[in-house]
Amino acid sequence: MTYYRTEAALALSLLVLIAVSTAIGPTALMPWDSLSADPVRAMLARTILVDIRLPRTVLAVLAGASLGLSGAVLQGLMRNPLADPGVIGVSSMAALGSVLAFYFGLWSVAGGGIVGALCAALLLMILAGRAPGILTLMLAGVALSSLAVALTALALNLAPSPLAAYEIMVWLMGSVADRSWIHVETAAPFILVGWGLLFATGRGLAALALGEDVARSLGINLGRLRMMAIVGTAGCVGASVAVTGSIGFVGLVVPHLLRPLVGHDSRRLLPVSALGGAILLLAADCVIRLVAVGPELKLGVATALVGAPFFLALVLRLRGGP
Amino acid sequence: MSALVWESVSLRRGGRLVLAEIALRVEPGELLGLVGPNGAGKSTALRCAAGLERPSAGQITLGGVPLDSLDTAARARAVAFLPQQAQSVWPIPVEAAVALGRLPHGGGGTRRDRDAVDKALEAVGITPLRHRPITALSGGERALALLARTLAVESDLLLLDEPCAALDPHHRLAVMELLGHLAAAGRGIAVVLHDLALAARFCHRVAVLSDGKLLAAGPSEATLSDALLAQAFGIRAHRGRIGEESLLIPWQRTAGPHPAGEEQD
Repeated sequence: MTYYRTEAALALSLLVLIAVSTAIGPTALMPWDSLSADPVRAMLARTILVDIRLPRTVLAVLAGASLGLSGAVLQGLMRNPLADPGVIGVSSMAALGSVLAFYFGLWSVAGGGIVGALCAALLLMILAGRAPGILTLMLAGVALSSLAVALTALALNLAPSPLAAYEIMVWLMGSVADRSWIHVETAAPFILVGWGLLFATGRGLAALALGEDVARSLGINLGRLRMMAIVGTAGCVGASVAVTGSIGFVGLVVPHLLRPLVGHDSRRLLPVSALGGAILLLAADCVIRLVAVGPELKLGVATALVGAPFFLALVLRLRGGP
Repeated sequence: MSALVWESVSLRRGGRLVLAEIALRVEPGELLGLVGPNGAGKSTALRCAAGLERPSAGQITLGGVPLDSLDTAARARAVAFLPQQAQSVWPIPVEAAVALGRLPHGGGGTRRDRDAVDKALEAVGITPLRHRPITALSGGERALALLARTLAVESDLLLLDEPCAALDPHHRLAVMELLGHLAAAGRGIAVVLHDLALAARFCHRVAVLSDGKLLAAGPSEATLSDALLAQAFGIRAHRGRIGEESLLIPWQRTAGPHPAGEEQD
């Protein structure tokens, strides 16, 4: 069983973290307090556990796994260790969708984000769908991402009041705090469908290790593989961003850390990256709750603070080392 | 076991005719050499047969069945392709890269899959390298690993685009001998070669392409005549015999400009 040690260790760590996550928060209540003899204390504990800590934990797991998984898929698809969900513009389009929904007071901020992500998928397929080669997809994604970021900035620029601009900016920083089951219910179906599509790309990505010609000669349909990666990422990352705001670097960092542990095999990397993403995001969220001093640190800010130096180290190693 | 046939295959790319009505066949048990100057269309002819490019006209059939009508997995099991250059971006172990050849068969780690990988590594003589990251190999070692990947498919037909280009003389001979054995065992092999000496000595038949056209095809020695070498390559060759085998060494450029580089539309 030593072969699947990495998978087992990660799954176990995630379970432990989930337990820890339900135990920490500003109110000093533990999960077992919901069974307390004191009925008031028991009810309070149950409310906090079920309505506050659990949805927060579930969202962190769903969003983290989506980011890790899609990062692994996109790096494999683009044969590029620096690819992540941000590269194809899905994250920024989802953020733009949410911001616009908020800005115009539409029915749901999360719904706006999901629509934004699906628009991104549609545009990518029109822009890069028929052209052969992955480079077109990457370039189209970069263009789309820049446009979405510019339009988001425009919304901030034209915001009617400083308060509205401030709210948009805080939302963009990304967080799983104060989320409810409604957020989970809105995002989960899209996330699960996205996962299904992304997990199905493992074989094709493994073949792509030796290049597009080898993959195609092995009977892999690259067009279909690309569609599955785009739509799957739009589904799970788009829905995640729609309820959590943008959280960077998880999708870039996690596959990198884990790739050597699974022998660089895409088929094993995908589930492992999903687990790793969930662990990283949940751990970051737990740390944030523990060190809360003054205004709570935003999750997206925390991951970027850790992620950016890592990214730099990665670039330096890629350019300097063997 | 069935023959692979190019039926009057043409391919137009960006207004240029890259292949012009190529008619060729590879029989089971045959080692066919594709030779010709740079840009003649040799690689494109192989890529069409590997299903990587679609001919603008004509078709390629396998055992009488058009390649297009085959299910992609079935085609991938029947025809293995070694592209001219393939590089791994990830430092996967050599044996994992070779095992990718088992994907058309399901790709699982069944006993048969592992045997095929072992056999392929053994055949090209890189068993000692099996645990090394493929990105850490030398150019020649990597070329052998990629050839092993192609062999691991255990297909009836092999399409190899310059398998010898990166190899030293010892390994060139080893690979050509290996291809001879594989053909003797009933495989059909089409191999693009730039080394005319190897083509003349080891290939049962050669097809000479120039500027997208098939100039000649037939038994190696008779086909690579002085007139043809002058026409296709702009060279004259030194010839000889060693035992039963023919020796051909490109020796001199012939007068007149070499056609490569001129585009005739």
